[in-house]
Amino acid sequence: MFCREHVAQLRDHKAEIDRRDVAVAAVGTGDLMYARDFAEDKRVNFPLYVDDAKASYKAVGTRKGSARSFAKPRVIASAARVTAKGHIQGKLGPAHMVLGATHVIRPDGSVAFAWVNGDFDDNADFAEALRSLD
Amino acid sequence: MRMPRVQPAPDLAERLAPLEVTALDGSAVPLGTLWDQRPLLLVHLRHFG
Repeated sequence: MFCREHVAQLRDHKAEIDRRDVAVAAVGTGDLMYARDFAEDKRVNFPLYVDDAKASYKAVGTRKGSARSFAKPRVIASAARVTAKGHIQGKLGPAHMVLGATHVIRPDGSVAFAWVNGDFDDNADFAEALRSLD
Repeated sequence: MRMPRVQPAPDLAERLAPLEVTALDGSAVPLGTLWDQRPLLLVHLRHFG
């Protein structure tokens, strides 16, 4: 559900991201059919890619979540907030314990922003990520 | 406190660039081609769920 909220935020702010002349892409794990269903269901309006081998996840140093996190009051409260917005948990992917990350990479290869999720509910604020280019 | 912002490895983009991801049409795309024209906001999702 946190992924769904994150993708919805990116989708809903795509025009703002475009105005800044920044490209956006999301990478996920699982098979292509799973990704296509997700893109259609969430009306994703930016490129979506699959990295089922998780090579790029390893490169950016994503962490793994713990089942114990689901019992943390903060995570429970975040889940309730996200669910109330209509982002219902979908089918769990085969690598659903792998946490996410957000990076802003310039054409010269320099990294303006790097965020590696520490838990299930702490996706990066994309607005903060974009401000790294100012 | 939320503080997962991290210091990236100096060669992160260099290591990511040749890695291929699969587009929804099944084509293989080297990640580096996604930021060669303009900055890229690259989001790794936990999963498509």
